[in-house]
Amino acid sequence: MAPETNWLPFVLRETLRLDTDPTFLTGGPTAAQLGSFGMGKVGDNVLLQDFGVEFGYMSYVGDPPEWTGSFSENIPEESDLLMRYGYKHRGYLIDVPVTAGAFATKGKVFTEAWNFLRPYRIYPGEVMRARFRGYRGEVDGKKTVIFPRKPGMMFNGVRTKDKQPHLLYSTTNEIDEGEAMVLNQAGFTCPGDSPVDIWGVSAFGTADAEREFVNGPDWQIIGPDEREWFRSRIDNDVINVGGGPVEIQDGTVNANWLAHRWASVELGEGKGWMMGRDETFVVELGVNTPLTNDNTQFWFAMVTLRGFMEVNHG
Amino acid sequence: MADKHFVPRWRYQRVEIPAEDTVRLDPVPFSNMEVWPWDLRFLSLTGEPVVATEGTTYLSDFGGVAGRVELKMGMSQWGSLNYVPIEAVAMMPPLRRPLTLPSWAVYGSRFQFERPIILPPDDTIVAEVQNTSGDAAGGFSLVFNGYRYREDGTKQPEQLAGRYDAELGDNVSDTLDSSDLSNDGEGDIHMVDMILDPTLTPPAMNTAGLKSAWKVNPNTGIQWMDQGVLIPEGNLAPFNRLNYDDMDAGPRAFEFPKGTVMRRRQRLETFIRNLTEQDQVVHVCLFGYLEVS
Repeated sequence: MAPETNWLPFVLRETLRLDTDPTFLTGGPTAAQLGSFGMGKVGDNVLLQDFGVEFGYMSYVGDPPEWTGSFSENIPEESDLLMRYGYKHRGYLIDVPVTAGAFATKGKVFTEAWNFLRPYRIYPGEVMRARFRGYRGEVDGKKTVIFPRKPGMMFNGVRTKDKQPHLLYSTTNEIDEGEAMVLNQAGFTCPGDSPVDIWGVSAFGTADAEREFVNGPDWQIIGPDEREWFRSRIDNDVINVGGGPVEIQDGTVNANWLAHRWASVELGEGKGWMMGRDETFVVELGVNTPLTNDNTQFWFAMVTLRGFMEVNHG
Repeated sequence: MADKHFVPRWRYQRVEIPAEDTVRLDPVPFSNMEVWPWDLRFLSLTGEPVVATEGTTYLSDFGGVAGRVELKMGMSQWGSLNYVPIEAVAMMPPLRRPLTLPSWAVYGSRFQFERPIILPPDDTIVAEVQNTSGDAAGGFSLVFNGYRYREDGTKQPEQLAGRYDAELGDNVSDTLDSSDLSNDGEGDIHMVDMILDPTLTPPAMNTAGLKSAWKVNPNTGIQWMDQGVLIPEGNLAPFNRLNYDDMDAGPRAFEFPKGTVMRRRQRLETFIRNLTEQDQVVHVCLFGYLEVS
């Protein structure tokens, strides 16, 4: 019998510091920063779905980062966040970088949901796990308002035995800021009589009064194979500043990976983004005029890549 | 029988409609002057918001220009598309992407080709952009996403892009650098979508998609857009939510019933009535695929 193929969802993120010396367009690499996303020798093909780009700055080291999706806001006139991408060793797809916003085709969404290009199949007895960490309330003017959060998560699936929809879901009680909680796993268990193809995952109860998940709920999902899909607060949220690495302040990490908050650059199989397992996806980001601002210490961009790794159970 | 080959074709006109008046659009841009059938897809409409009534107009801004004009269309040798004039807001639905929020982020306006458009080896996309933002601006960008077939039959991602890095004065146009807009490889590039980006510096608002105008054509073969005119990005790619569009005032499009084909020498006759007490400028664009065989 042919081995069964499964597609493991993955998320990779890199936070890049942008140099303020603008030589990106004139040939020098100093303003450009490179993010590279390789899978190692896991699985067979790697299907890239999309990547999100966020652009931010930090006024003072230790302060919360300010995120902006405009790719030109808050930076001097005529300066843009420029980008190009491609496969390592094969060159970028274009020679001259263009504005990051020109690649972005999807804007902000109301709710966090990730629809899969390929289903992820779980088998009877297997359990999904998700952990949520409460985050700070929204700052409304000078007053910080903590909204009650009773978040939950749902995996949207189809039973393979009869093609009927099957939802795996779980919610928590109210969570205080900084407190972490594992969602009850009873609702996340695959039924005993049929595998379930998961076609998407969504989180709910996480938006603020403005219906935005501004600072990003801190989610962690662990599959039945003990593999962590993604966790918001990871080492990559440490970026290099001047004298050394500085962690973006706790509680302010932009965690949007179930849905890209600002800009989503679609890849997908229809455009040929089925990557060999030994290939590496690279993104280059830079600016074309000096990034100077009286109150700004440094600037950075965050790239979040999502996709699926093909594996077989043979 | 040779396979059918499809070429996108946009045709555009700008019209100023006096207050509470009806204007018959010039039938020439909206006629099929080619020998091939023109498989119509949509008629897009956009315009800068006008103050519809005195005083507060916040609510009346909803729907943008589509709420302030009504249309009546017909095709020669065929008859009316609608027998009574219909307000554009009823004829042209809002965006079918309900779960997105308006934002000030400036994204590209994407046009998704119905089927991949082929750019043969050594062919080049020639793109001209006009700055219509009202102020000097630079950074206008154009991106094509697509793929090429490798020898083993798998797809390899391809991208074409151009950026106008220098500054353009208001209403000035120029041609984009074409170094990245050429198919210099072996084999065809199959272009899946086209993205137009005016690259504004916020807080510039681009609700109506009128900050840049474009003329994009392949260097050889059948042209996509007329030579004499540049078309606003909102008309070229109306199915995008643009920045600051929190009142659904963006471009609209009437989608023709499937199978609406304009034969050669046929034309679309369009009347637009201004429902407001002010003169309005509206931008209208007809899009379809030429069935070249």
